[in-house]
Amino acid sequence: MISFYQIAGVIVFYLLVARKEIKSSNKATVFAIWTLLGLSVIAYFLMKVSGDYARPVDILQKLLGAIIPFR
Amino acid sequence: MERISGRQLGIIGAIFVLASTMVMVPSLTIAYARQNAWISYLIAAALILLSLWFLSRAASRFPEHDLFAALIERFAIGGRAVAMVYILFYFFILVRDIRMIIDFINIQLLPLTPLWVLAASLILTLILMAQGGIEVLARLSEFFVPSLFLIVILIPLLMFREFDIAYMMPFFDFDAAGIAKATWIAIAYIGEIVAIPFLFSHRTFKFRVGMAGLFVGVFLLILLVQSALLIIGPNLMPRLIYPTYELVREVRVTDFLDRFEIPMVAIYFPTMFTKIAFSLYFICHGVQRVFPALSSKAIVSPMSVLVYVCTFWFFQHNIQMFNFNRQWPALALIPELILPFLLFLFLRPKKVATKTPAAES
Repeated sequence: MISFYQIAGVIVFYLLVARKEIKSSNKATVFAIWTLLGLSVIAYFLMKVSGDYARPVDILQKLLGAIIPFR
Repeated sequence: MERISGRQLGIIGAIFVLASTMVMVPSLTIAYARQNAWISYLIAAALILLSLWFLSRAASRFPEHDLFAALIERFAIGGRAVAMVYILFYFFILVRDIRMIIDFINIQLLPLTPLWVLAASLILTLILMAQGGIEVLARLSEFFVPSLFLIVILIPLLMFREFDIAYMMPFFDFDAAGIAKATWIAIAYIGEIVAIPFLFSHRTFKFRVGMAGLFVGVFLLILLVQSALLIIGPNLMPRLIYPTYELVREVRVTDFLDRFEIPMVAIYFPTMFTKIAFSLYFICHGVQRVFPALSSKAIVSPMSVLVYVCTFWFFQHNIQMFNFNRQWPALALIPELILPFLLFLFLRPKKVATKTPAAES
């Protein structure tokens, strides 16, 4: 669906546009920004690993499908 | 201190009820409740009204704070845990709404444009909207949403002659199980209005304003669903993923306006974008309340990058999203009904120990 280069491109674009804002932010905000960007990359690799049958919604559907009494 | 009027708050409530619900939910509710789908929306609205009252009562005990701040002030750890539940809940709604709207654009309007281009363009718009803050979002909704209301009211008026009353028959044949299943589907979407007390302090958010927003949203929803039912019929409608769009495509105002879906979509998209921007703002606002040292404005962009990736990770395709509406309420009812009831019971200010004259002596 999306490639690693697209994610990397979006992150680099953001860092270029927001570099002044990041520099002027406090430590906690900078830490949060890098954490969120790191989570984005992790989410991308999880997307690659989970394939077509183990996405979060696939798992939720299987778990909750057992509880819901109708289709 | 944000300055939000009661009317703006009511409109915000109405778009939380209407904007996402009118896309896919009508098919499912008609599939289960058929001609009685309108009853399921009324039952769902009544239950959410109760939930809104619970939240309003809990918020009234902390008139200076929104519910995020009240929770964290009262219970440092437990309050943050509950706040995180709401943040994750609206994160999922945000991802779902973005995927829903880009799939809709891709299927109906721009079939050759890749999804990632649509998602990137949408998210860029959302960042600008959410960074503007709650006042900008409220003004945006005040600008676009009344136009959507007008168009939704116009649909049955323009299509009145096409209505087939036979589709409403047998009118008094109430299938309780079908209505219950349709209520189950509808309540998860209508309940998204519970975001309001978390965004505004009780000085801004009044129960009657939330109630007005809920009723306007549900009234317009019923108007749309019943119009679609009377035109498309209960046999064909469950087979459509976008029944409202199909309904609007049927509208023709003589030679004057041949394709009514174009103005409809032109008004609907900004409304939906505003609703999605509210969800993004909600998440960043919630994260800022949980970690007060953060700047909520600065984390809008990186949060959007995460949302962008999750939009493609969470859902494989449109059909999966459509089918997931059957299981989603099992999770959605926790923040929409159960937690509001618990907050109503337990979220109270700390009792301040006052010294009585006898104790002082």
